[in-house]
Amino acid sequence: VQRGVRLLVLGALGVSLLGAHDSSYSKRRFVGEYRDILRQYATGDIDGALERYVLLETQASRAADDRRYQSMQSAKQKLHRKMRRASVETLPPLTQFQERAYVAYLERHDSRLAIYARLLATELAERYAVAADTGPQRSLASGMLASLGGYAHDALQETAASRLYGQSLELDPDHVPALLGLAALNEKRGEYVAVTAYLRRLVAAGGKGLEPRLRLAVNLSRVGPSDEAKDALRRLVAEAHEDWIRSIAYQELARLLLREGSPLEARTLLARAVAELPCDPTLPIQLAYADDRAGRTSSLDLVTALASCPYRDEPAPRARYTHPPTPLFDQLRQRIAEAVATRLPTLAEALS
Amino acid sequence: VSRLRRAAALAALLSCLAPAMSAQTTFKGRPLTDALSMLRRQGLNLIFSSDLVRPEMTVEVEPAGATLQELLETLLAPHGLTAEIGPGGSLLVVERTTQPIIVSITSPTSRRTAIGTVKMSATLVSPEPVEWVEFLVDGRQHGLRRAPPYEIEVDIGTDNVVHEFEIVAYGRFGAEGRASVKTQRYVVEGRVEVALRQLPITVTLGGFAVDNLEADDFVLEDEGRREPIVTLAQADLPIRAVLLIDASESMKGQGLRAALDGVRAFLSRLGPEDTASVLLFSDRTLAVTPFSSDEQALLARIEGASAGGATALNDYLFAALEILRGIDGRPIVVLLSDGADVVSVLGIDDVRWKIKRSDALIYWIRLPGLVGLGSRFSSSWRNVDQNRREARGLEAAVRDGGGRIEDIEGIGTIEVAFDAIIEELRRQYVVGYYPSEPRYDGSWRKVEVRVRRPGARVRYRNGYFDQ
Repeated sequence: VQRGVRLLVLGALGVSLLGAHDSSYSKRRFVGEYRDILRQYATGDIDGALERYVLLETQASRAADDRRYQSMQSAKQKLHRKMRRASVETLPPLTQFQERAYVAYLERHDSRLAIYARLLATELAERYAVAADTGPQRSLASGMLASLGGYAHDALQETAASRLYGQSLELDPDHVPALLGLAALNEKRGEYVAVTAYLRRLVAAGGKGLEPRLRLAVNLSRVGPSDEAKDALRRLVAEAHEDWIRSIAYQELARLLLREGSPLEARTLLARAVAELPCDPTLPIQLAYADDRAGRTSSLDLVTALASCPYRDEPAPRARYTHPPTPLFDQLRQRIAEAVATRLPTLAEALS
Repeated sequence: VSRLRRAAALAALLSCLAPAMSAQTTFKGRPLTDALSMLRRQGLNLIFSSDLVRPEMTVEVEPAGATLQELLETLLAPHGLTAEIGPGGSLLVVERTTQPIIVSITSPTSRRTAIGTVKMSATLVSPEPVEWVEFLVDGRQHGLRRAPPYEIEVDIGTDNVVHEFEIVAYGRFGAEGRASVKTQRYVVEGRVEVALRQLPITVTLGGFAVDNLEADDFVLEDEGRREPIVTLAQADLPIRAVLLIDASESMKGQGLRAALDGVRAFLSRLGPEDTASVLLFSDRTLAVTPFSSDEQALLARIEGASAGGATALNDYLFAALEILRGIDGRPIVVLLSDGADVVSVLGIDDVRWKIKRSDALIYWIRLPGLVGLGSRFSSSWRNVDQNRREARGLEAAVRDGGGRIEDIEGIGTIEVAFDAIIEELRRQYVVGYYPSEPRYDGSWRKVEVRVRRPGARVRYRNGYFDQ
């Protein structure tokens, strides 16, 4: 049913993308060009193929009338079915191609084509998941679904993200990015007890880096006695080499101390944090607050502290925390790209 | 008092008499007795003895007074003599005792703060014609007046310090009088030696500001006890404003441009004594300026900024209040935001704690956004219910603090909203009073204010911590 609904959405989106008509964009020409682009992609020229594809889709969406554009999309999906019949291993390259197109459309602020590409990629990934029999196939399918879940998560499509993470975990129950992504989504819903239990198991299973430990510590501080949370945060302050993780560990530890009525201890901690991370925007503000609660006049000139670092076009640590775990997804996508590269010859063969 | 009565009676008596000497008569150099005798002949019942008015005394100054009193004073004063009411309505020439001019300063008044342009004025009661009046501030002369009204305007700068205002009057024949008042510092925090509390109050009627109210028009209760208002000013305390602009991702492009137009409009209407700081924020500091009254300098520092990132509203609202801490003048935060906090480490309760201890008024220009109180919005840091509580908390904090929420329909009305706020500040009252039962124990004291104007609405901070 879900797939049926999605196909309907795809069709509707295809129709809604249309603008002025141009009879030169025939279905035959469109599919021929798409096939040619896929051939280029199959040779390994991913960027060149992607550039042509984005241009083709954009022009077609603007030039064809509703009916003809819909028929073009149908033809594209028909081509995908032909590829799948030739070999199911053509699906990972096709999925990744649509996923890359999704990112390209986002960068061009073309949200309608972006959504279309993500839905198409999801459709292809799900088909591969259904067909996957072997361990490596299931692992790849799980990764592709988690990756798409991450993109949906980023785009605040939380229902879709949750479903994709869930599908990924059905294929691989220990898939770390999917687990963390799902934890982050549940965190937004305020289901802290469930998230904590989940993250506790994940960390106990093998560490998996500092980000899961940070998320666990943050959620521990929300659900129970603070001693365990404080210990976890203190270890992160000492061990984390990534600034954003260390910054949040400092902030949350100070928050716990303030909550417990220890503003002097909090201010000492935050003064150390400001010295270590002078360009973090949150720390001097929290230090001023701790000073205030401790009944002290702030030792900071806040205007100077806020203006002291050059502007950086990157999210503050707490904003970064609200996104899916980026480095893990970057690593995941790198692994998927490597797996897809081995399947490009299969795609080339199917196209021929 | 008896001296004043006698002087008044003398003036009344002399004013009833016709001018005693013709304009053609020359007296200078003639014996004083001749001049006084002539006045006698003209009907003035003048009594003098030869011990006081001796034959060798001559008229030193040609009498030129318009009234008989002035004329008589001109004749007698150079010889240390004057006239007093005697028995049976007579006038007795007596030895002049040195009597001061009584100076009463009508503005400024003690217990008031004085910053910027201040009116100095006095009324005088003088035993002789007043030659000139000198106006001094902190020992430095700022003006002279030779005739009533005895008043000047003086610019004393923006330092929040005690000033001494002195007015000195000099009589034509040597009499002097002086008076002085000391004004007070504007007290920003509740902790004061003199325990003066100053409370900004906005009074509106039918949505429009009500001007020219007097202290008697206000009724102020502190912990239920009616307190007399000892100082009242309308908009003469300099504004110290932090313009806190949410420049997160949703403000990219037109939104930020409209916000900067609003900032520009606000800055252009600041007075010469007012200053502002501009803080553009998202989850990070996008631009921040020190306090300045130089509109162009402030704009130059923010115009290159671009919007982006999530919103840390609580954190930066706290920062704005902290920046205003201890600053003299009228502390104001003008916040432009949809009110959606995504990533702050501080909760709204932390900010409310600060707001209650701050004298700053918060004006919130609330942009319509996805995050109204009824909408569903969550982040990793707060779920939907927590965000709703945060939004309600911010609303309550702004209103409890005497500030205002200006809901606008879109970015097209940002500039109008800024304009309305500066207009309101320009017409705001600041009343001062002494709590009659201060406890200094950190307890919360509730304040209520009413104004004796039917239908008028009053907005003010509804209490303070007694520290």
